[in-house]
Amino acid sequence: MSDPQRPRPDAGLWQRISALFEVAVDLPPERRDAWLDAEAPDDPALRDTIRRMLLADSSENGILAQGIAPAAPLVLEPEATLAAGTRVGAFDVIGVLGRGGMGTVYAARDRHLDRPVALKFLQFRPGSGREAAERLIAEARAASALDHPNVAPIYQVGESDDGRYFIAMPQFEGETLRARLRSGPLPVAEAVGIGRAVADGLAAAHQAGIIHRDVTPGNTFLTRDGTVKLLDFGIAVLTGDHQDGGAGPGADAGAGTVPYMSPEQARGDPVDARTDVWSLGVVLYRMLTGELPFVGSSPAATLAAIRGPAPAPVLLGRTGIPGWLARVVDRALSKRPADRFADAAALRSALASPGWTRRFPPAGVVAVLLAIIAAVLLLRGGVPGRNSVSGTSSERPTLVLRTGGGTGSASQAALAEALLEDAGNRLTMLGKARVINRKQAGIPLPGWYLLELSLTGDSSAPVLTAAVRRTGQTGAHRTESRELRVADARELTQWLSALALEESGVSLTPREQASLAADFPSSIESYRAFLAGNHLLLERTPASVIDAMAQYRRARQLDSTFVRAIAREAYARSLMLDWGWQVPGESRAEVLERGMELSALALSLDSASADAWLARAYLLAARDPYHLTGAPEAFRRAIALDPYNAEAYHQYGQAEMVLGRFTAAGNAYRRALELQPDAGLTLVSMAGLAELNGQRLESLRLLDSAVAVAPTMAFALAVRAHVRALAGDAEGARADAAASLPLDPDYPVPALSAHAVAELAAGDTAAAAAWLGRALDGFSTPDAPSPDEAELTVLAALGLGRHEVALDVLERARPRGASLWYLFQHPEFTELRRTAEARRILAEADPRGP
Amino acid sequence: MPDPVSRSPDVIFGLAYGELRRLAHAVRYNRPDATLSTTDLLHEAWFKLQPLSQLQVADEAHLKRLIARAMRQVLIDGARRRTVRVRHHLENPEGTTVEPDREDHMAAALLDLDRALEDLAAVDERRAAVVECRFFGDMDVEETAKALGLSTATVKRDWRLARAWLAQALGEA
Repeated sequence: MSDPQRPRPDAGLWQRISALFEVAVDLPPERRDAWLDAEAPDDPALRDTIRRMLLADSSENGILAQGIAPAAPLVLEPEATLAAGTRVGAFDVIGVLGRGGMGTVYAARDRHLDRPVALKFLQFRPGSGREAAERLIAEARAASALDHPNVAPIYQVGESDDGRYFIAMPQFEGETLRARLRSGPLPVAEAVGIGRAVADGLAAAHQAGIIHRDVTPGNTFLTRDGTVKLLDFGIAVLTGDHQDGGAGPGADAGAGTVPYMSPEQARGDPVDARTDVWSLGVVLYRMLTGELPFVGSSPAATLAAIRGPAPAPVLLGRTGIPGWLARVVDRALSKRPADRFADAAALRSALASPGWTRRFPPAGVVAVLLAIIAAVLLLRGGVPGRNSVSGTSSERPTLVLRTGGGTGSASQAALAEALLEDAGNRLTMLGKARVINRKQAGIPLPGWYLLELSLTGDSSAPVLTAAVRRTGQTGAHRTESRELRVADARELTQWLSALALEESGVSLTPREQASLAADFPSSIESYRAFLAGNHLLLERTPASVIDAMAQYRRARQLDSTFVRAIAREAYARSLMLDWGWQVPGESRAEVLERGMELSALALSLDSASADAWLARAYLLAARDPYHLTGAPEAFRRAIALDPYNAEAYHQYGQAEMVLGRFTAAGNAYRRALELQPDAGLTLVSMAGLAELNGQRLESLRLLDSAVAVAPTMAFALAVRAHVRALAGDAEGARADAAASLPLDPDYPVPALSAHAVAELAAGDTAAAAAWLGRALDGFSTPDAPSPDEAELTVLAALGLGRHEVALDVLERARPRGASLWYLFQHPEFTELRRTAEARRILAEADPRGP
Repeated sequence: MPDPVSRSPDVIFGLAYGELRRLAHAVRYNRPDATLSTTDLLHEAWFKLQPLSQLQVADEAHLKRLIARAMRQVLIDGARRRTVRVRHHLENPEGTTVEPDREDHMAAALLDLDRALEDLAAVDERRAAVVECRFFGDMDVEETAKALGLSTATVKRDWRLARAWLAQALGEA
């Protein structure tokens, strides 16, 4: 056994030992003694050491001569279990609590405090010594002192008789998240709840400057009473429980915590709070999908995938995972720490979407909604992104396009993005692949294709590098680079489109190939202006749409036959009309007239331009808001030419709603949602349809989804506030209205009227009247409120018994009131409908009338 | 730029350790009748981790060195468990049915060796590393030379010196 007095050589002594031995060992054995006596005459201990060394040298016995083969049983033998009654420090072992892949956790009792504890032994590695371990243990103590409900405290760190460190902590009843995950992914709400709790605990630690470093399902404990406890702060690397190894046939068996490591951790770089953000992102991903975002055939391959350039796969489009949540996870899994949430507190806020923290209001109230919600949406807001087709079952490969940053100036980066967008548009039009653009950046399923575009080189000679790879596989299939020259913009778009298709195994007919190269303007400047317009249009603010119109105008002035630019300008004009925004220097009639001229021009140049048909459909709807003459046909043409355009389906559905053809509307909405599962506005429209059918619960469910996928969409919150108020949930309505109001300062009326109905539901008529007054002042166009503004304020006015106000608003809204006839279908209008004034408005507004 | 392994030895060490433990675990739980030698363990770990060297480890030898270190840890952990068991039996005579056996002695010797090797490393890192490779990593002279960037002659001399010193420190001579 070990000898506590064993000689520990200092550097000087060791030098002498090694020098003497190396000479002596080369001497003939019979001369060694004499030589040693001469060399170290006054140091018998040293001479004795050397003699024994020489003896050992000539022996074939001893542990070192045998090698490690005889030690195999020590490794292979199951871990000996401490028997009940064994004393470990101040604790008596009672039994085994659980076995992880790497160690046993014991139930024990504290002899002094007479309380139950759980004991875990820490593991150290040779060489690194205990200094590092002690630093970590100090950190663990600090973390356990946080006294946070989501942080498991540590009672004591002790040392056992055989020199092993252990920790004593409370015994929790329940299971680890790792155990829970063995039965597959969790429901979204549960996953979000657990993620939020872990983030809460981490936030407290980060606040105190403590990093966990090993956030994994194995370290996340779910107690029986539903509390989430984060275990093993700082010391997880020493407890061994972090190792998933041997835990079963799970996807990460043997991979240790490698799948949860951040890229900087995997590289061995210094880490900060953002490493925990990453790991929690992986945990969320795992909870939501049951899978790991980065996994290779071996730990090494997993590690390579984590620290390599490939982005995490996208969650978006997974059935049941809301878009906002997919984006939160995606951001947590940004390769660059700077792109992630700054710390757990930031991640916690992002997870605190109101859509998930509230419950359905009790369904008892059978008030029927003033059922116009969906229809009036026709003229408010666009469905974001046309090239956003995902989530449907189909033979078509799914292609995710994204830009991966890099070097280069802002304008070069914008050009690169615009090129990619245009390539995406072209691919979508072909319908050969489902295309998800970077705006819905997220997390691909295995087997999707990613085309990532980055800028390299210096800004005087920028180079575009496109890498195509298949998710679930490491390494790029193919990487190609081209110089980014404005003069080559057309070629670059074709190059990107072709590259994406070839790599995802799509073959094209010659005609389809030609279409990839079709309709480029003769002038590069024209193309560039067109791309800039597309980019601006995505922002969908009044200023950006006006700027987009100017860019399209410039594009068509440079090339008078550039159909896409002409059609898009018409489309931009239709958006301005829809949303009730003013074009400087033009009346509404002029905006409409010029838009119609442009769409006619585009169609005369190319009668198969889907853009032009879509623009025309919008414009026809704006021109005849009651009867929509010609609009449904134009929408159907646009859809036939571009059958993967979610926006076109949505708007077509709106038109059918206005015309009272609810079945057709419902079908169109469903198709739009299929193509774009996170289309919040479509969900709001479907909720309106459900209200019409008297399905209040379904309506609330749809609105919850809408808020979940689009948590910053003011209108969805305002509509939910109304429906909640009608359902008698005054508190929920108030909260939604309050959340909605600051989100869209340009369009406050829905939120203001939502406040009014919420107060009505709460019984505070004075407050309701005050909110109604603000709503009346807030109309975007003073003379002509939009239908949804009108509808929501009329509802509030009727609730307050202010019929004259309701009629006044209805009257003022008529010029834009595509769907006013709906208002009269609601029971609350029964009384109003009897008045001559109301009857007159109804007669004009009902498209089904003569 | 330093090679990635030297930048993240902790990570690689963790991988190697986990791999060795997993393999041992797999054997004892899934194939109780199977025998797996320590050499098999090392080879398996190498096989699993070797893609690292193709992907980004310029220095394959470095990886071997880390596997050797991990093997040392795995063995020491096993030895600790064994000695705890022995002490438990000694202290609880009513439960004692097992006399210390060959493995128990091996465990004690390993723990002593581990401490002595720590002492050696404190004054002579290179020679301690040679022992780690040759003994715990089961490497021959050439492999050790490659792993540590030394000549084979140096490895031979170092091994002979360190082995002799450790043996006498352990009271084997």
